[in-house]
Amino acid sequence: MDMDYKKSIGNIADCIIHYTFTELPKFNLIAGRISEDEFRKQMSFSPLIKAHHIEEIIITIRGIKNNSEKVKTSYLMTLRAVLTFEEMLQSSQNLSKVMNEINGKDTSMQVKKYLRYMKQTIAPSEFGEFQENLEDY
Amino acid sequence: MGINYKNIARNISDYIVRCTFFELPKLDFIVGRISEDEFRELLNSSFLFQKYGTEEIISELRDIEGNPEKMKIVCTSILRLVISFEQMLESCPDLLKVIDDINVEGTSEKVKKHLRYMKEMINPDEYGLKKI
Repeated sequence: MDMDYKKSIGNIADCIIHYTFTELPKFNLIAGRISEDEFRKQMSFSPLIKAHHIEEIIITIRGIKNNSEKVKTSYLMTLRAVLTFEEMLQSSQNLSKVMNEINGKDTSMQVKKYLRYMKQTIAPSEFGEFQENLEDY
Repeated sequence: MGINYKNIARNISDYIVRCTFFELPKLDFIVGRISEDEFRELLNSSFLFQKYGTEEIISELRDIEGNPEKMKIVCTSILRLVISFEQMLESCPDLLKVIDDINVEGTSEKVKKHLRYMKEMINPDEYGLKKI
């Protein structure tokens, strides 16, 4: 049977979008850039996260925030994922078009911006400081 | 012009294969499971690594080996990479077929095995076999 490449690539694009859009508010909560209420609000807009999971995530993040070692580990894992997704988007530029096709125009731009924001916030000395703002989020 | 989905699938598959086969010997070397000579041999024997400077990598890894903090950073990074790839392969099993198509039959099995090995070795408490 032939492979459904379109569906497969759609799934991969979806996987990157899902990760980016759920990781950004988590990252901001850990970094203290948004409050728990703001986090709740942002997550409740997302069709990707079920309501009952939001409180579980908040409890987990409270545990991370109270432990500098866990914060560091969490940042490092986020950074690795960001770099992986950026490299994938770079090696397959049409993947950005697929993102826009299945989620609406500009989704890929948002994804790239968020990935860059996380990377530059975690390691500004290596990747430069993030100088835009995320006000549209 | 239409999007060439097949081409994207090949690029992604190739990326996953390269990273997996590259990270495995690095991890084995850092944790002392293979020697420098074995690591050198592995990297030099594969066309996948021709673009990397083997001696430069060895020099960096020597530095990591002697520093538990750096070792932890590398292991954490590898773990996240492994989890990302596993999620992608799970959400898109056809990628495994593409991996075998562009490499040789059995490559996808090796990739899955290597990913599982790295994950279980870095965090056996969470991903290792559960004792009943």
